Amino acid sequence: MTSEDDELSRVRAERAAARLRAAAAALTDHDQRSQDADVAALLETVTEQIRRESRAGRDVMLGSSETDRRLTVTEGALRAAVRSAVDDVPDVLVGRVRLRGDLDDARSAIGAELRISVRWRAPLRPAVDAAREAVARALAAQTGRPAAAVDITVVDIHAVGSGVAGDTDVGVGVGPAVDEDHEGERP
Amino acid sequence: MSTTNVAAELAALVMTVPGVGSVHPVRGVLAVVPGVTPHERAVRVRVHADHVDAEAAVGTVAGAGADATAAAVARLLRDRLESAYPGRRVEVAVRVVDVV
Repeated sequence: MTSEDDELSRVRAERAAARLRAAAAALTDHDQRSQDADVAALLETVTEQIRRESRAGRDVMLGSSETDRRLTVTEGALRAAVRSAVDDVPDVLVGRVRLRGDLDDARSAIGAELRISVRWRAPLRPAVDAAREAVARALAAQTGRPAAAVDITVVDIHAVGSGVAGDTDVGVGVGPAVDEDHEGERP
Repeated sequence: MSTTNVAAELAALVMTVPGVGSVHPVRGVLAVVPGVTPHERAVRVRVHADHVDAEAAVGTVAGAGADATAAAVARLLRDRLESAYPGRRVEVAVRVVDVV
């Protein structure tokens, strides 16, 4: 990885962390004492995931590529765009983002696999559907390639401003989303 | 005109393409044209006997779409290089390294 890639990775990570802080503002405002530890764990886990995914990674071929015109986007930039799109979906926090499909084939469909956390008591199905739609839209708009399957797994629930955090043992965080693989690293 | 000057001129033009939010140094360009500014390193041009190849690294605005913006940059590079080096085949590569 070049120093330019390192610098971009750092900028992407900072940007995503800023979005995360904004999304988490409600968490810290609500029922401070009972949730401090859980919120800290959530933020730490997601921040680590952001750091991991902000690396440049492989090049993804863009749909308008031709034999004498090679157009690509870095995996890290595309994952950041997907993450940003889902950040706009209410009640959802993004854990892992993984791209799927043949990244070298500009004509093939490209999909994604996400792990998310949904706000406690928010209906899961609409939240997942909205996240899936946002991801598919972002993938198609950014790459110019058809969107393939977008698989989303809700791996956790977070209590944000629900007013019921004290009466339930809701786990907070997207810990299971963080696996130990090193996707996105250069070979 | 040297390829470095052509590249610097192209880098300035790339910044004017709608959807381009930033330009970034092309990978490995330091080894090719040492001493140029980071901005000038955003485009690399290599002239061969029968063809010219150019590479650019850009950051795009999310709403514009990386694909559409990269295609517009590629068109600009091709048009300019075909004028600058008539008779040579032009190959271009555009790498989107950031989406804001």
